[in-house]
Amino acid sequence: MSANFKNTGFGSALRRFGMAGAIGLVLFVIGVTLFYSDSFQRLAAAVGTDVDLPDAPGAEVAQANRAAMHAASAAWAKDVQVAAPHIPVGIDGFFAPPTDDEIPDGPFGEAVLRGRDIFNNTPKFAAQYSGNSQSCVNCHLDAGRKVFSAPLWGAYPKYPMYRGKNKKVNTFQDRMHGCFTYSMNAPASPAGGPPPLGDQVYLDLEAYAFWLADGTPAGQTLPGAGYPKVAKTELGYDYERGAKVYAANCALCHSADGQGHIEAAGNVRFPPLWGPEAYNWGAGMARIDTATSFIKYNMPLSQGQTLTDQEAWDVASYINSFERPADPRQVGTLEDARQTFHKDEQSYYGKEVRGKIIGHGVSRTTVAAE
Amino acid sequence: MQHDEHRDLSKVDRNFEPYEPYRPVPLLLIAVACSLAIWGALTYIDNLTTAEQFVSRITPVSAEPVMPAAELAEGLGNASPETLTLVQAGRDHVWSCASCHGAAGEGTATTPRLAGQLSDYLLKQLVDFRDGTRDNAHMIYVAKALDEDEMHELANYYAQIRLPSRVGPRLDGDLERGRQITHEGDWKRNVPACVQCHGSGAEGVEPSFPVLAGQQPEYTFSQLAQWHAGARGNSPQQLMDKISQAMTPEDMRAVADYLATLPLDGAPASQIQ
Repeated sequence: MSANFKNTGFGSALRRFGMAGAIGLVLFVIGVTLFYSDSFQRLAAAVGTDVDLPDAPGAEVAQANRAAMHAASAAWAKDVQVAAPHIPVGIDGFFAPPTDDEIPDGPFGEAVLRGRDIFNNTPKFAAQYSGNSQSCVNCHLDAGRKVFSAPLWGAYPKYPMYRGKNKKVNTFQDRMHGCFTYSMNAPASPAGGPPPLGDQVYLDLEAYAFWLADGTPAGQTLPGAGYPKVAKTELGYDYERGAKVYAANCALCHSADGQGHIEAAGNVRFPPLWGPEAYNWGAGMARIDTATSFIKYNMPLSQGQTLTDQEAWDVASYINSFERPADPRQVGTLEDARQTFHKDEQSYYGKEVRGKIIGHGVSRTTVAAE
Repeated sequence: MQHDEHRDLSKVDRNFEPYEPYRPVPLLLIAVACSLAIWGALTYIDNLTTAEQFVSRITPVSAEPVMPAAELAEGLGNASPETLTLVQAGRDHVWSCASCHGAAGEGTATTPRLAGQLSDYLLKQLVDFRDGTRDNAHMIYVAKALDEDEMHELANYYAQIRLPSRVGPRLDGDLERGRQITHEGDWKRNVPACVQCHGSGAEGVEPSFPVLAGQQPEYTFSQLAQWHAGARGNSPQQLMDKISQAMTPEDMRAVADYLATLPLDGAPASQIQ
C-alpha cells in the first residue's frame, strides 16, 4: 500500500502544481496569440461564421481612408514616382464616399448642399417638378451612398452612357430627366413636366453626385453600384404569395394599404408604394425585376438580403400589381403603349390582375373623386 | 462438488486491493484549469477597471433644485378615477405606476419616461410583459395584475400627458457621433438613421415606432444594450435587435445622450432634413 503513495509528498504536489501553473500560463499565451491573430478570423470566415466588424465607428475608418487618398493624390501630383492613390474604402470593403462635413465652402459647396436637399426631400426642394410623394433618396438610400442601392458614386462615373430605354447616348442630366418624368411623376407637377435640360435643379443634383463620386475612377463599374440582379426562381413570381410577404415584412412601415406615412409637417416618413403618390408606370421600379433587386438588397430597411429570392420576387410583384400614375409616354391606347414601351419587360402593365386590366393609371384627382 | 470448488479459498487473490489506487490528477488538466483561472482573473480585472472608468465618466446630476415634473405637466387628471388610482396608489399588492415612473410619468435613469409616449406602443409593451415576450421582473408582475381594458386606459392616459423634456446628456457620449447616427445613420455598419423610422424629430411614428426624443438616456442605453445582448426580443421584425447588434457600446451611449437633447415640443432639431 505504501508503495502507491511514495511520490505524493507535499513537496512533490507543490512541484507538480508549479509545473501545471507554468504550462497553464503557456497555454493562455498561446490562446491569446491565436485569438488575436488573423488565423482565428480566417477560420471563422472559412466555416461561414460571421466575424464581428472592427469596433471603430464605420465613419471613422472611411474618413481615415479618404484622408489617405487625398494625401496620396497630392503627393502623386508632385512626383509620379510615388505610389498612386488607392480607391478609399470603408470597413465593409466598398467605396467610401465623402461625408457631409467634407462639403467645401464657396459656390460649389452651396450647389452640393442644394443638390443634397433636393435629393433627400424632392417634394419640398424641387416642388415645381414633383408630381408625387417620392424623393430620390427613397430608392438611393443613405442620401445616395448606400451600396446595392444604386449609389450616386456608382452611377455618376458611368455617364455619358447609351441607354436602350430612349435609344441614345444619355448624359447624367438626361438620366435625371428620366427620373423626374417617371419616378417623380413630373407630368402631375405644378410645372407639368420635368425640369428642362440645363435647369438649376439638374446642376445642383449633378454637383452633389459628382461630389459623392470623389475618389472613384471614371468609367469603372464599382462593386456595390446599381441594384444587383436577382436570379429568376423556379416558381416564378406571384402577387398572391407576395401579399403574405408584404404583410409580414413591409406593412409595418409602408402600411397595409401601401400608402406609407407622411408626417404632419409634410415630410415623407415611409414612401407610398402604389396609388397616385407613387412612381408612375414608366419608372424602372414599376418593373418587377428592378423592384425585386431593390427589395432583395435593401428591404426591410437595415435587413437587406434577409428575404429569400422567392419572397423578393413575390412581394415585388405584389407591390407592382396595383394602379399607379399613368405612363406619360402613352398617347394611343393602353395596348399600343404596352406593345411599344412595355413589350419585353417583367411588369403587369396592360395585363389582367384580379380580373381587371391595369396600367390606365390613377391621379390625385381621380382618387380624390372616388 | 461444484459448490466446494467455488469456496476454494486457495484461489483467492490475496494481493487484491479493493480500494482505487491513488492516481495523481493529470498535469495537463491542472494546467488547463490554471490557464482558465488566469483568463478569468484578467477578464475580471479588465471589467472592473472599465466599470470604474464608466462610473467616473458619468456626469453628476446637478444639485440645483428643479421644479417637480407634476407642476409642469398637462393632462395629469385626464382619466377615470379607477385609472388614476392605479397610477397614483396601485392596487392590493401591486404598486402604482407613479411609484417608479414619477408623478408625471417623467421616468428616472433606467426607468423610462412614459409621458407623451405613443399609446399603441405602451399598450404593446404591457401586453408583451404580461405574455412574457418582454422581460422585466417588475413590469411582468405589474402587467399580470392588469386586465386589457386597464392596459388600454393606462396607455391612453400616459400618451396624452404633455410634459417638456426634463433630461439632457448624462452618459458622456460623443454628441456629434450621436447626431450622425440619429440623422444619417452609419450604413457601413448597416445602421440606419433613427429618424428614418422614429420621425424627423424622433417624436415617434404611430403605431409602432416610439418617441425617442427626451427619453431618459440611461433607459435608451439600457434598451439598446439589451437588444445588443439578445435580452430584449419584442421589437417588430427584430428591427432593433439587429440594429443594436451592429452598434458599439460607444455608439449606444452617443445616441442615447444625443436623443436626450432633442426637444419634445414638436419643433424639429437643427440639421433635420
